[in-house]
Formats: sequence, structure tokens, C-alpha cells
Amino acid sequence: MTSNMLPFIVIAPVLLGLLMLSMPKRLNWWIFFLLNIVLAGVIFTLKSKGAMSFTFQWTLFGTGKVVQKLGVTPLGWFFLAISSAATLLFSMFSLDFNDKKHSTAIAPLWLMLVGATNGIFLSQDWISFFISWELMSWTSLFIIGHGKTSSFKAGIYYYALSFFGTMAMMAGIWLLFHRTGSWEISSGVLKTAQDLSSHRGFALTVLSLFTVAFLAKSALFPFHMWPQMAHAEAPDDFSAYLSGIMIKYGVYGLLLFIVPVFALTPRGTIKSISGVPWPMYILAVMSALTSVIGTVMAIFTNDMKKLMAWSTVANVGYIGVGLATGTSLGYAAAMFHTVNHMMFKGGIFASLAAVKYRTGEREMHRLGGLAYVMPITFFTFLLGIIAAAGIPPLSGFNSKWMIFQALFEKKMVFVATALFFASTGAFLYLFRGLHTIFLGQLSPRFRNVKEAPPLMSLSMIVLMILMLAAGIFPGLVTGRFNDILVAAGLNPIKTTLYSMTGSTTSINSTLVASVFALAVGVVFFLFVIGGRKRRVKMMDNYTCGEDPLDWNVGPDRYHYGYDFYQPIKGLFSWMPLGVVEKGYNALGRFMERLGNLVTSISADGTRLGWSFVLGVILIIVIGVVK
Amino acid sequence: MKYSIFLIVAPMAMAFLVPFLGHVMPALSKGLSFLTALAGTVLSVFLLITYKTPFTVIMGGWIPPFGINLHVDMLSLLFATVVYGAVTLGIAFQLSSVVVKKPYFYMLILLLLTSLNGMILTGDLFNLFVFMEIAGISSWALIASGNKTAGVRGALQYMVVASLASVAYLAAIAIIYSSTGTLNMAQISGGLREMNSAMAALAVLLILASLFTEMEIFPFNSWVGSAYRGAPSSISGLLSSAVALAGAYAMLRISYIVFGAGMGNIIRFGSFNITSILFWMGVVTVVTGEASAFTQKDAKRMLAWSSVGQMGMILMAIAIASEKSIYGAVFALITHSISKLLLFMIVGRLVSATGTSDWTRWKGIGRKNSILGIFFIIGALGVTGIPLFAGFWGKFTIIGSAFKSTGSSYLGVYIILAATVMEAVYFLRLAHALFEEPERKPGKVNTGIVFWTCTTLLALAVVIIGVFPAPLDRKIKKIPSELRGDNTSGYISTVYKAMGR
Amino acid sequence: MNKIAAILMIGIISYGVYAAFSSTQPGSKPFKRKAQNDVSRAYLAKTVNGKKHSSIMRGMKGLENSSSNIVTAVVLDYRGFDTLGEVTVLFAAIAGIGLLLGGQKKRVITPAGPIISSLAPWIALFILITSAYVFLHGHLTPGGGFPGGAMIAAGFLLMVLGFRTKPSGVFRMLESFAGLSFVLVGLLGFLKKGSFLQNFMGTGEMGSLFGSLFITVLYAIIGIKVAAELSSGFGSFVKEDLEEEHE
Repeated sequence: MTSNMLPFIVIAPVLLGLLMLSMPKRLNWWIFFLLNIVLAGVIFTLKSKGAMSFTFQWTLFGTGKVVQKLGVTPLGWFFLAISSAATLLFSMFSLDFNDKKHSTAIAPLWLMLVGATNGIFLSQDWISFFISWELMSWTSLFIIGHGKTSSFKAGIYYYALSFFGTMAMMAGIWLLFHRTGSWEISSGVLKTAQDLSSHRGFALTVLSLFTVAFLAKSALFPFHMWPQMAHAEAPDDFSAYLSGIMIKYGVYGLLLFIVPVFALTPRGTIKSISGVPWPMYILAVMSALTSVIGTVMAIFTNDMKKLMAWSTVANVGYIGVGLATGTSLGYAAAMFHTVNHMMFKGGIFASLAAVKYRTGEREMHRLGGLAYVMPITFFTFLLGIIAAAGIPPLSGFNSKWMIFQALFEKKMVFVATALFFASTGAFLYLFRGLHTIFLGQLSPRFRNVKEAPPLMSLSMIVLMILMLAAGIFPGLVTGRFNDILVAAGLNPIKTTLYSMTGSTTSINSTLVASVFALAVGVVFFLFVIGGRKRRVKMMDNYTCGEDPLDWNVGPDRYHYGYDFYQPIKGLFSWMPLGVVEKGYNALGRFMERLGNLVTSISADGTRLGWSFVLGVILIIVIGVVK
Repeated sequence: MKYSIFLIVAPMAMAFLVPFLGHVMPALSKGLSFLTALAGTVLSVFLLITYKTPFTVIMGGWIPPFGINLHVDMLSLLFATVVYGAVTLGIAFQLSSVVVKKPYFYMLILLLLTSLNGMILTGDLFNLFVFMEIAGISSWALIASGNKTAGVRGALQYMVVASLASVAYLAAIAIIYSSTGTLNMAQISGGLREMNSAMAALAVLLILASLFTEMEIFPFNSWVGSAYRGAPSSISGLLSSAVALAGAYAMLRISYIVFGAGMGNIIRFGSFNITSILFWMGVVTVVTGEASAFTQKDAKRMLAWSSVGQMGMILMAIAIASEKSIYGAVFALITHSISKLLLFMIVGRLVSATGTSDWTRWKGIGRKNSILGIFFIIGALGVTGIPLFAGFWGKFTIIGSAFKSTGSSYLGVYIILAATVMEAVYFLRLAHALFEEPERKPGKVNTGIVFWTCTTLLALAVVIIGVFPAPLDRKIKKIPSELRGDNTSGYISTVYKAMGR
Repeated sequence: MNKIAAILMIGIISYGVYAAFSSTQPGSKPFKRKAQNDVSRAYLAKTVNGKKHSSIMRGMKGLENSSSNIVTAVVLDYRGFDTLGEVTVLFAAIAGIGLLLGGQKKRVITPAGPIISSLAPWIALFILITSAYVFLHGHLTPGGGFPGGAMIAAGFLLMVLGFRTKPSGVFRMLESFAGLSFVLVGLLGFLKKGSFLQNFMGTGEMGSLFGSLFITVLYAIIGIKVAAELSSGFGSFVKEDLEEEHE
């Protein structure tokens, strides 16, 4: 395996995706799956080859000499590995999901997107990064839209915010190039870290521009509004990819550029709040705010995909808090939560897709009792929400624990409190999803629903195993982090296969998991050897012997699911939610009014004369004033 | 070489032939028009390939400044080639359309070709005016020959504003001629600096008002929406890719040669700051142009306002006046011509297939005509400047140069970057609408071998330039040094050499 | 509303012009300029090619340009390329009319009364002679191809209104070939002397009728072209089958 493998894993999916545009849909999904196997295989063998790089040089008058470099760094490889593994699972899922009835034409675009993703994680220079980033943006737009008008509205909202960030990144890249004379990311990091002492304003401008780009992509405040539309409207199998992998590009960017800059800056160069440089503190506050908003909005949503999208927003908030602390614990926690979120959210969205596949329903309150007919789906969802809620023995607990440890280390009280609120509130909406969809009464409509098809079930089972593994043996994941931390200029963390060490204490997850397993085992044993059991019809159990038909309520409507948290809505009415969205809408309306004003000049011929006069006046004014 | 005059004279001669030939053998006259344009394209490509250094061609046997001269350098040749290519494809597209146009139509296109090349190749200020007039008249007639009411309205609006612009230009020439005694652009360059600064400011103000009209700058561009809407789609495409290109060329020449913009310095006449005028008018144009395009339901108007936005960005690049920004402006102009022509061809076919230019009624057509939809996406991404498509390198270089020079303001650049978000939104909105669920079952759009040849050529150009910009780069990078007013291979010294000084 | 715009515009430009003219800063202004770049002086003194003359008199030979009408000398000789452009402008305008009005219903004109129909041929003859005079003497007296051609077209219009003739396609042919001839003359100059529209017919005696053949030929071509263009322009407006109305 030579360094030529690097451009292969970036370019081959893109070219193959283009080719796939002319091939039948079913074949496309097979090619998609097979190529993902190849890519995952190649990527996992890359690790053993050490640091490899592939350079490609060219010169243009406008840019000067450009050395495009694809390289395997610890951080890049980590993200590459987890995304390719997850993509493989999702592609297996999609293979069964896209049968004749549910099939969408997105496979070619998705493959191009995979190539772009690989490009992002492998790029060592800003030109390659930017090219991959933009390719990723527009292909994902078309995937989210997938030919439906309503989905496209969601997609374009996402794309507008993302493109705005991309333009900010373009400005940042040029500023860096003019300052350092090179397109390399690492020299940009070094120079900006130096500039924090000498040219503070310049460094902060560059950092802000890049942060805007990465915030927009990872849906952190104030760009948190798009996932609820985009993730919900996207094709069901793609939502898992969106929520699991795509939302992490911004996180990767922050870890690639922003965090190392602050890690390299010597202590005391920049004023700190609570031991953290003030820009990073602001980032932490914004992330915490994102988590709170995400949680609250999730509690009140009725659409299950929207709910999970808000959950993603909240989780990215946790990740943001983790990396904003700037400590090795926080960095490790952020990466750990990235992996965990990918797995549990992937599992959740996969099970939701399976439910939609079998029942055709998306609104939660119309479902119910599916645990009886779709057990594997149910278990995936259950483990997913336990992990999402941060309850041991599943993976989510480990990463959330580490985040809080990092916060304790820096004594960021306010942020910790907000995060705690968000984290516990998560349980409210997570359980609601489980209850409304899988527990409760099974509607007669869905009595004949079958379990998800084999490949879908297989991928869900694998995800469950992964969630358990990361929960019971945290070292499987955390052990990878130390070379990344060292490469970023931070100290390594203490971790073993079974336990994690935080700032205040250490915890042995395997021990915790064993206790849980023991408890479950004891209860199950009691259940098995217990007294006689009698099978009761579901409705009898629920209605305590009464017959709801007496009150003209069918078994359908007895299932309490709609507007579940309506009683406590009043508690949160003081929150100014939706302010940001109103702001964006106002901006959009302003642009429309401006456009209409300009085009109205030509609607009536007599105004043409005015326009000329206005122009002359404008020229004179600008010429004289400036 | 001296044969560059044929770039102007040949289509003119052919155009003179058409009234007679068109009456006797109409099909032959149309075919000959196409062949003339094609031959011209071949000639200009040949000149481009064999080009070494700038040279001057004298007209009438009188050395400049007494006679008129043509100045041929890389910029003129490149633009002449693009104009010829665009017009050739435009004629081919119109010939392949179901709407049959009279031979006079093709004659006017040939005249347009003559005049645009005249504008591009000339080195004399009044000559530029004459050719601008011919271009104007041809454009008005061509626009009016479209749809009955929309075409006439569009042409009328263009005519009204352009007439004001002509008067302004003529007044400016009068002032300049009576103050400096010459009409030759190279000579005026020095002369303008010796002029009384208030007079110079007045002359410059009038010239700018006129050039801004040609280049579709706000607020002189109020005619743009109706004109592009009423014109036949081939003409709208040419307006965008050839006429606006020539207008931008005139702006480039006059800014750098006549006004004497150096590389990176700020032009001032007394207290009148020209550089900031160009810069801020560019910024305002981008914002208003993109906002207007964003609100449009009519596809042709949308593309028209999108051209306006691009021209604003080019104007900003001209204002910055650094080597990289000139390079970026030229690159962006060329790629814009290619992408826009492609878009107009596709839109034109869609309009004639569906009978409406309201793009919200085109939903789902891409599902039956997928290559058409994909070409639209290619064109749209080419204009917006997404990497791997043609427009990226120009825009990228312009933004980069804006951050490095003294003539620009960072605020203006940020505003432009924010405005381009709207551009991406409205283009991709239309592109996706082509693939959305249709209201009625969409039919197959009538296409033919000519249409596919033209569009495939253009689409391939967009993608190839996007991925391999090096060949184009090799040509364009000669331009900034040639555009300087002072260097030995520059414009002015070439003309002076011809003058025998 | 538009009136206010117009007044505002005039006001601004007037103020600008006033401020510019009354500015006391150094530098050249209209009518107050340095003579070294002066192009018009060279045109007047016919010293473009460098040869100096003490004075220019009728009957002189060997001048670089033998037209005694300075305007003509500039229009057709020194800056002939611009004139080709102007001819093209007119051509484009008429072509536009032809394109836009070509398919329309034409106006029917009422038969003319006896006065016009009998006098028309005579007056038209005089007009023809006069206009031929005008453009043949373009290099000696004010006038030239453009007014001459317009006069011919007026004569033709008179004939049409007098129902003596009808618009015919011969004008299209004349238009085309006149235009081509102009370009051909230019190309001949290019081939023989190396520069487009260069005078390849030599210069004769100043003040004589055929002293500047080049200019005369060009003006004749322009005259024919303008006449043909304007006449065929009428054809777009007027109904063709006049014979039915007449008699």
C-alpha cells in the first residue's frame, strides 16, 4: 500500500458516484455498499503504515505555488476510521431500505459525499480542505432535498447557513495565506498561535472566521436551527448519516484548527475566564446554550425525527463544551462523545427508519406498541436512548462523565449547571420517544407489521454491540486518543481498557457494567423461577378490566402520546425560543424587499430616468466622500 | 498580425451581403452567417495561439494619434475569441430552435459581432464610441424581435438608458479632446493627468456613468430585467456572455489606460476618488443584483440579475487594481461567459418546451430530461464559483486579492461574500426544482444534435476549466503585465512605438 | 416625475461643468491646452506625415491629402474607419426596421392628386442631379455622401408618393453591394498599401473635381448606400401593389 491510496480513497468514490448516475438504482446501492467495504478495509490498514502523505503540486498565477497534501494524522485517521465504519453500517442498512417502494435516487450523490468526507479528513492543506468541504455541501443539499419541495426547503436553509460559513472560511484561508505564505494547515495553526501574542486583532479575526464556518456546520448556537428541518426531511436512511457523521465536520474543524491554536498558546498570553481563554469560554457558553435549547425544543416536538434532530443539536453542544475547555480531558471527552453519538444516534435513526419502512408513519402519536412486533428495532432504540441519556452501562455515560470531569477541572460552574440541566432533560424526550413508539398499545393497523429486513436488522445489531462495547470497555476507544492529544499539543490522559480517569476521580466502567449485568441477571432469574404467569391481552392490562369501547374510545386513541409534555410547557414559556429563527426570517424578508425594490425600477419606464440620476449622484457622493 | 482586422471586417462584409442574399436565398444567408462566425472563431484562436507580444495595427495608413489604431494584446485576443465563440454558439443555437428567424436577424447578430470586436480591438476613444453605438442598435433590434410586447418593452428600456449613456460618453469625449487634443487612448493616459483636476473629474464622471450602463452596474442596470426577459433566449445569452463582456473590457481598458490606474495605487483626480467609486459601486451592485435575482420567479430575469451580480464583483476587482485582481477579473469574466451561455441555452429550450419562463412551473422536467438538468447544475455551480467548476478560480483569486491591497475595504469584501450566499440559494433552488415532483407528467424537451453539441461543449468547458485551469491560466497570466501603463511591453509603449517615438 | 429628474440632472451637470470650468487649479482645460499633442492642427495643416508646408493653396500637388474640405478630409481619409462605423450604424438601424416591421401590414397610401403625380418626375430629376452634384463635390464643398444620399431617397419618396414608381427589391441589392464595395475599397488599400482603408489611389491637384479620387469614390459609395437604405426603409412601410390603386 503506497501513499497513492490516499487520493484513491478521496477521488474513487467521487468518480464512481458520477458514473453511477447512469446506472439503475438497485445496482447503485450494491456498488455503494461494496465500495464502502473496500474503503473501510483500506482505511483500517492505513493505520499500521504510520504517517503517510501524498502531495500534488501545481502553480496558478492567482494562487501562487500550491502544494496539495493528503496526509494521515492521528486526528484525521480517527475521524476517517469512525466515519468509514459507520458509513459501512449505514450502507448495509440502506441496501435493504431502498427496495422498490422506498428507494431514493441518492446513492450516487451519497458516494460522492463519502469521497468528499474522506477528503476533508485527509487534507493537510487548505485548498484540498476547501474543495472537499464545498463538494460535501452541495451534494448533501441535493440528498436532503431528494426531489421533494418541502424537503428542499429544509435543505436550502441548511445550505444557506453552511455556505455562509464556507464564505467566512474562504476569507479566513486567504488571510492565513497572506500572513504565512503557505497553504498548509499546520503552519497556519502555528502562526495564529504566535499572532495571539503579537497581532491579537488579526489572530482573533482569523479564528472568528473559521469558527463561524465550523459552528454553522456543526449546528452550534446561533446556527442551531437547521438540523430540525434538514435531519427530519432527509431520506430516512440518510438521516442517520447526517446526524451521525455530517454534523461532526464542524467538530473536526474545531479540533483541527481552533483548539490546537489555543493549546499552543502559552498560558497568560490571553485573558482567561475560569482558567480558560476567553474566546474558548464564549464557545463553551454558546455550546451550553445550544444544549439547553436543543433539549427544550426536543421535549415539545411531536415528530420523531425532528425530536432526534434536536437531540443531535443538544449532543453537539456537549461536544462543544468538551473541546472548549481546552484540557486534554475535555478534548478526549469531545472525541469520545463524537464516537458515541455517532453510534447511538445512528442506531436511533436506523430504528426510526426501520419503523417508517414497515409502518409508513412518522408522527409518534400514531404509533405505539411496536416493541411486540419489532423486537430488534425496539432493542436498538432502547439501547440508543439509554446511551443518549448518559446512563451506564452504555457508552453515553462514559463520555458525558468525562465532559463533566473536564468542567470540574476548570471549575466552570455556570456551564456545568446548564449542561446538567440539558443532560437530565434529555431523559424526558428520549423516554417519550421510546414510550410513544414502542411501548403502550399496539394499534390494530400495525398488528401484521414484521421485523425489519435482515440487513437492516444486522446493522442495528452491530450498532448495539458497539454501544455496549464502548460502554463496558471504554479503553477500546479512549486508548486511541493519546497520540491525537500529543499531536495537538496536549498531555495524554490516563486510561485503561476498563476504566477512565478524570480530574476528580476515576471510574471502572467494566465494574459498573458488571454490577448492572448482575442486577439484570438476578431479576431475570427471579422472573424465570417465579410463580405461575398468565398471559393477558394488552388492552386488559392497560384498562384495568374496563372496556374503552364503552366510552367510544378505540384502542387506538387510548394511547397517550400526543403533546406528551403539554403540562410542563408553561414552565418554559419564559424562554425566548425562536429568536434566532425570527432573525433569519427577517433577514430573508429584508433581502426580498430589497430585491423587489430594485426590480421595480424597471416596471415603470418613467423611473428609468430617476435611476440614471440616482446613479450619477451616487458616483459623485462616493467619489467625494471617500 | 495585420490580419486581425478581419476579425472586425469579415462579419461586417457578410452582414452587408445579407439584405440581398437573404431575399434571394434565405437559407444560404443564414448558413453563411454561421460560417462567418465560425471562421472568425478559428482565426482568433489561431491568433491567440501564435501570439507573442502586443502589437498595433494602423487603419487608414495614418500613424496614431492622427489615425485610428487597433491594439492587439492578450486581453483583446482572449476576449475577441470568447465573443466569437459565444456568438457562433448563439447562432447555432438559434438556428436549431423551432422558432424561425428572418435573415435580418442573423445579419444583426453579425453586426453585433463586428461591433463587439471593434470595441475590444480598438485603441481610440471615439472609435470605441462608434462601436458601442452599433452594438447598442443591434442589441435593441435583436431584443425587440423576441416576443411582441416583452421584447419591445425590454428594448425600449435599454434604449432609453443607453441613449443617456451615449450622450454622457460623447460629452466626456468632447471635454477630453478639447483639453488634451487627442483621442488616442494611450496618449490620453498621460493627458488626463495633466488636465485640470476638476475637468478631469467631470470627464471621468461622465465616462463612468456611460460605462456602468454598458456593464450593468447599479443603478444604471434597471433595464436588465426587461431586456433579458423580452429577448429571444439566444440573444439573452449573448447579451450576458458577449455584450456585458465587452462592457467590462471597456471598463478595464479605460480604467487602466485612460485613467492611468497603476498596480495597487489609488486613482484620484483632485478630491475625487475613482478607486473607491469603482469599489463601492461594485459592492452595491453585487448586493442589489443578488437580492433581485433571489426574488425572481422568471428564470430569464433571474439569470439577468445574476449577471449583474457577477459584474459587480468584477468591478470590485477592477477597483482593487492589483495583478492578482486583474487576473481574477479576467478569469471570472471568461468563465462567466461560458457558464451563462450554457444556462441561457438550457433555459431557452425549457421556455419553448413549456411555454412559460416561470421556473416554478418547470418542476419535474429534469426527471424526464436528466442530462438537461445535470447540465443546468453544472452551469449553476460554474457561475456560483464552487470548486471543481470553472468559476471558482476567478472568484477565489479576486477575494484573495481583495484582502491584500490598499484599494479595497475588508467590509466591502465581507458584504460581497455574504451576498453570494443568496446566489448559491437561488441557483440551487431552480436546479433542484427541475427534479422535484411535477404537477403534470413532464414531457421530453425537444432537442437536437446541434443543441447537444453546443451545450456539451460548454458544459465540458466548465468542468475542465474547473479541474484543470492551467491552460487558461497560462494565457491569462500574461495580461497584468501587459496592462501596465509604464512597462516596456505595456500598452502605451507599444502604441508609442507605432507612433515612431 | 420625469421632469423633476431631468431638471435635477441638468442642474447637477451644470453645476459640475461650472465648477470644472471655473476651477483655478493647474492643468489643461478645454480650449486651453498644450499644443504638442494637438491632432487637429496637423489635420488643418496637413502635416500628419511630417512634411511641412508654408501654406496650402488651390492647385497644389503632392499633398498627403488633396481635399479642400477639411471635414471631408478628416471623415474619409484620416479617420475613415469611424465613417465605416457610422455607415454601419445607419445600416443596423434600417436592418432593425426591416426585422421588426418586415412582416407587418403596410399602410396603403391614397392616390396622389394631379399636381404631385405630374410634377414628381421633374422634381425628382432635379433632386437626383443636385444630389449627385453634392456627393461628387464632397471634397470641395460642404455636403458629401450622407446628405446626398438622403436627398436621393427624398426624391425617390416623392416618386412613390406621386405613384410613379413602387418600392422594389433593387434597393436591397444596391444596399448590399454598396456596402460590400466600401469594404472592398478598404481591403484594396490593405492589400496594396498595407493598411485597411488607406488611400491607394494617390492624391491629385487640390481643388480639382477629380483631385481626390479616393474620397470621391468613397462618397459615391456612401451616397448610393444611404439612398438605397432609406428607400428600402420606406418599402417596409408602404404597400406594394400600388398599380391597383393607380388608375
